[in-house]
Amino acid sequence: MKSEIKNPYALWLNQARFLSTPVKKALAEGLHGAANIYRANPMELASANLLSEEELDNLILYQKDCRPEDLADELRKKAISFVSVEEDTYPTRLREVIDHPYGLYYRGQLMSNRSRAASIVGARKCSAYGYSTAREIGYLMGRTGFTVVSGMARGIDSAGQEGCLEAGGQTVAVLGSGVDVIYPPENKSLYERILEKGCVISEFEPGAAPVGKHFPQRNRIISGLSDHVIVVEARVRSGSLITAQMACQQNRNLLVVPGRINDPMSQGTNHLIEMGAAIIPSEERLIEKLSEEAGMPLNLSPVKKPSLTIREKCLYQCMDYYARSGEDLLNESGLSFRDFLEAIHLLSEKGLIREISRQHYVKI
Amino acid sequence: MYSSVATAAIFGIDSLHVTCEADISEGLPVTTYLGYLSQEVRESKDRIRTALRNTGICLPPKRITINISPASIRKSGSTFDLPIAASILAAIGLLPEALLRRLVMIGELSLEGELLPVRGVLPTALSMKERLPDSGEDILIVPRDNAEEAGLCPDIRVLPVRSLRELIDLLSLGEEELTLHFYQRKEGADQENSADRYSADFRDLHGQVFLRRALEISATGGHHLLMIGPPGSGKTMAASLLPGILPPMSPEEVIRLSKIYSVSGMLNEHQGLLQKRPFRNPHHTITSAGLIGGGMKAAPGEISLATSGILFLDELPEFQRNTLENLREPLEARSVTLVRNNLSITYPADFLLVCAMNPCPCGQYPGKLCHCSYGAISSYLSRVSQPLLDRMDLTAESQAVSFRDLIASDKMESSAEIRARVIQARKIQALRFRDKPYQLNSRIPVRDLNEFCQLTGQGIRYMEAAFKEQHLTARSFHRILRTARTIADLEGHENPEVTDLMEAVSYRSMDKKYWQEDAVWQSMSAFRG
Repeated sequence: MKSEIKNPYALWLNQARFLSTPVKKALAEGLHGAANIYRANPMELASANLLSEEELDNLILYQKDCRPEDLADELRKKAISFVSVEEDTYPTRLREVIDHPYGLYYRGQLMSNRSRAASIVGARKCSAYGYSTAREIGYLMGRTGFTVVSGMARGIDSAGQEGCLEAGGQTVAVLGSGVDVIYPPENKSLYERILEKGCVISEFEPGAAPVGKHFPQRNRIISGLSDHVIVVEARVRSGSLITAQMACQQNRNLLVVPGRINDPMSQGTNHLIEMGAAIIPSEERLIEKLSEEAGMPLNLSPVKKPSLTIREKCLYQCMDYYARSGEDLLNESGLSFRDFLEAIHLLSEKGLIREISRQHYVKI
Repeated sequence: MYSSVATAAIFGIDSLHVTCEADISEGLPVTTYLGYLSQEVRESKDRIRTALRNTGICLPPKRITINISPASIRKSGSTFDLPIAASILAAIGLLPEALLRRLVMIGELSLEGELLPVRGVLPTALSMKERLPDSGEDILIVPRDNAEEAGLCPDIRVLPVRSLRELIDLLSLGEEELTLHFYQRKEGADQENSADRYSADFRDLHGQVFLRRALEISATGGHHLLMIGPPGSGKTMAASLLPGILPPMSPEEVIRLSKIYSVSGMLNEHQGLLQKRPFRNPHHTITSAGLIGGGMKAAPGEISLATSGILFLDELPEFQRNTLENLREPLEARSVTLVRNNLSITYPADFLLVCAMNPCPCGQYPGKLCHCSYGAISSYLSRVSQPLLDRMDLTAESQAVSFRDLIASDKMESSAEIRARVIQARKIQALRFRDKPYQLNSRIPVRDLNEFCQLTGQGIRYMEAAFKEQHLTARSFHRILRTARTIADLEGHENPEVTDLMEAVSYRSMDKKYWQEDAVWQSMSAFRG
């Protein structure tokens, strides 16, 4: 993995922990870049009228103690890249957000500013319905060329990104920890696969632990990076609703998957719909809505149908999108036990069906 | 004044010849016990003294020394009361010396002098029979209640005795008179217990094509079976049908099983030898000691009681994890060795393991009714250990019985018909493995698999595809080959054909990892539909 750090001075400024983000941004603007801040004498720094006395003292010390190249080298060793608002590669969409971070650490290939992006967010402890829906939507996004932005958390987040990867799409994970800290740990394989085409982003310094307060903060980046925010399943008062709120503040297009009214997992999402969020009634409608937004039709490549023998057709007609037991299929298709086994094998070889539990089959 | 009486001690399921000696000499009136004895054997001192007094015999005020040999083995149990009492009686001259040499006796005494039944009578009788040519001991004296059990061994003479008083009276009789008191075996006692008397029949299992077939394969090749299905789909019933389609036990198996039940005190007096294969169904709260055997004093556990039969673990995920982990070793060794107090005891544990579980907490997965969250399914599955699942050759789905199946008039196959096929296929196996230490397809070691499961070119191509598609491991591949071998035997094929392999693959053992992934796929498809 290659590390890309165009502006070590920006990295230097970003790592000045005693300064808040607004101060960093104001200072960089006032003095025309982080490089100038590094080289500025105390008089120049004071004349900007942005720093308290304590901050000024700290900054002067920081100028002496810390060299930007050292920081950059350290980051390169970890194969981590850095981008700040001063560079063009900083995501444009994020720049529009008022409290966007001064700098971002990332691994992998930073998403291009031209690509369309949608974030898929939702509950960590999701239901099977939520998981599959998120995965399905992720898949759809991947196939229509959207970049899927999410938090790589358990549940909906991972599902959306998994779906996108399955479709061969690009996906971006925004972490609540350092980019080199994989959280949750079981997503290691997902992390690696995300890096193949997409990237992992964090505003927190490498090595930062996934602390609770980081997560609401990173949610603004998730919505900030995307054109559309899709909430799949959320409880009331959950992190996903914070993301939804951010999306509204940032003027993003909010789309929500409806749920059953008595399902606690969907109360947050149903509430959003009540408040006026766009609803996703079906996948087709989702595509249509996205097409309207994009001002151009989005197309999915059609799936080729392989040819089947009579026995296979017989069996395939009995199959459904929900699991059916081998026994039901055997009875309904009227095939002999042996023919049945053979047909099952051939159909699954052709990728038309899948055995999802012992002797339970579904159409794909 | 010295005498000795032969008796027996139980180790594992076998009986060991033990001699009980008594010596009465001048000295202070105390009774001393020698010979590495456990607490309950030492306690017999007072029991015997009181029992003798209540029989009307007062011990002389002399020094009594009792020795039970061999002294190097720790002896426990209550079977020594009678021989100790008898040896004392003989030492004071109340029992005839000549007859004593032909006797072996076991029994527990009450304070009144009555004899109480003991465990392990059958192994004692059997070991007596083995030693008979050398020892000349041909009469076994047992408590009255143990007479039937001792009588199961036809080559020795059994003298049932009610009390110490009766013992003294009987032994004072002449040879001919004594013969009248030997136990007479009742004819037809075995009837109740014969191999055909299983209460349930396959005819009563409606529908369940896959499960019926899996049970048949399991019985034929000795493959351990895991049944997955919703509550009320008849998993327990299906498992209880298995003993009925297994071939009858060989005489050796009958003896082995009866011995295990005898040392557990479970050989019902009126049942005779156990001809029926056992079906053990322990509750999921069972402890390790209960399942594997052991406890303070080693005793056979459920796995030994299920020898030659079925050990059925219902609600597998509810069992304590470490309890199940303990099963792994006995499953491989088909016996279990317990070590207690410098003594190691081996019990047979040669059982067919049948487990049942729900596919998810609510039991409906992967049907449409399942509302369990992905996490709930995951955590439910994670309670079962993968190494145990790896030992199950067959996984079959049991299905909620449909109304159509319930009222279907077409007759299902009976246990007898299925058993005929099983016996036929077992004969093929016996012929094939005549030079091998194993007899069943499920036990073919990996090095012999190539010899016995030769695949055709088509079969190899199919397995190659399946290996990739189904994420098989080397271990699961071997299991599929063994299962396919059994299916081929049932179908009468020389070597496993492609259809046999396909069937074996559809019953392949479960891999949790992929099951969990599949759970996602399933719900995904459900949404699409």
